[in-house]
Amino acid sequence: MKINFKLNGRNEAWNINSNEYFLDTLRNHNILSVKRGCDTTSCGVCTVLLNGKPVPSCSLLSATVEGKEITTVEGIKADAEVLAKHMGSQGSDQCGYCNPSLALVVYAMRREIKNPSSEDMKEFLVGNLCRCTGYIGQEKAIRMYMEEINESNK
Amino acid sequence: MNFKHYEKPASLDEAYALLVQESNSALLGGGAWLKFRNNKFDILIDLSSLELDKIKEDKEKIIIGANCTLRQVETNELVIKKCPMLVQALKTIMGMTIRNLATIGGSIAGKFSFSDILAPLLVMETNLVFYKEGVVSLQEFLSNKKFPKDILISIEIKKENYVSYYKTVKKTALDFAVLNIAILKGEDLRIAVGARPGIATRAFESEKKESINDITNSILDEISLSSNTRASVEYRKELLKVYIQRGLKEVFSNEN
Repeated sequence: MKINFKLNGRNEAWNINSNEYFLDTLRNHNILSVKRGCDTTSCGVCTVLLNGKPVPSCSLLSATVEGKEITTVEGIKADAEVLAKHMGSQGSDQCGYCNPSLALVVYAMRREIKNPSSEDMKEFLVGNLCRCTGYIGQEKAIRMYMEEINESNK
Repeated sequence: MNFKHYEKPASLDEAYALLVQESNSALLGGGAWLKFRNNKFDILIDLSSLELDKIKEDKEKIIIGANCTLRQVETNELVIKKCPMLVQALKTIMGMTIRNLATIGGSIAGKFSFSDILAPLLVMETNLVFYKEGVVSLQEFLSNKKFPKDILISIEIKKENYVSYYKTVKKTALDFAVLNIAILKGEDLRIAVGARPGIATRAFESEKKESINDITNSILDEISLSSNTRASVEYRKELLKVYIQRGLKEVFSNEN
């Protein structure tokens, strides 16, 4: 079957098997920033934004994407670059596997919660696992990213 | 999960006709749990065109559309104000991303024994509204092993004044619960225990007792627990004993 949808602002019409999950559909179309970690919605590395909301693409039936808008990290370049800079400065960027999904979720978080407390952040990010770090550097980097973005939006 | 045909009906009538026409059909909520099942359905019916994703209220109740995502429910102002225990329970379910996909209808219709929301919903006055069967209490739906194929349209929760306590025990944040407990004290006392690992159940006998001690002893008798890969029955018994007491202390002191 065919699905018509928007990917990072661009209209797409892709052929899919009705049984397909969107993680595979994306990777089959060479969007490799979206990763497979657990296949059971537990790890977060397959996260994409579906109409602006973070969802696990490993469990998103591709057929249901019809008419919707998908954002991957390629679609939030400016934000991702600022976050990456601060992640690097905090030494919280090791293997990089969780980074694209983290960028998307942090982007969604700053649009949803104006001034997230540590608790808010933990709650929002609990489903995005990182196997390399202890999350401390990441939290610092995220705060620095939010400060910089909020400053530039003034 | 595999299926032959994907259908997205434009009306409830159409959806129901598809559901009953094929004996091997399934309704699609978020689809997250369906993914893990080995079924090969003939028809998968996507309900997302049916606008079952609104949350509203009338004088007596909150009405939650069955296709609302869990995240939609937990962030809704009405639900936060009137059903805080449900919000508390929802926030313990895995991570935010899966809650943007899973629907409350799917979470209830699945009758999952691991559910984190059935215990709180059981102690609140919760009715389910089905397309064909009409209004059915959650209690009745869960106990009826022969409930006919139907489409869940909405969940109605009665507005009441009460204090509540909810506790879920998980070995890691993203794991299934080892046990969960919901206590509600309004005009009466209501207690439900879930993930026992059996499905959530009310403790009707124990609710009639008076003192914390009596209620606790009765609960340990009335609620059947067992072992599974997550925990032994002995561990669950300890957890139940401690958290029932803590919960009762909290609601009895908070109601004054």
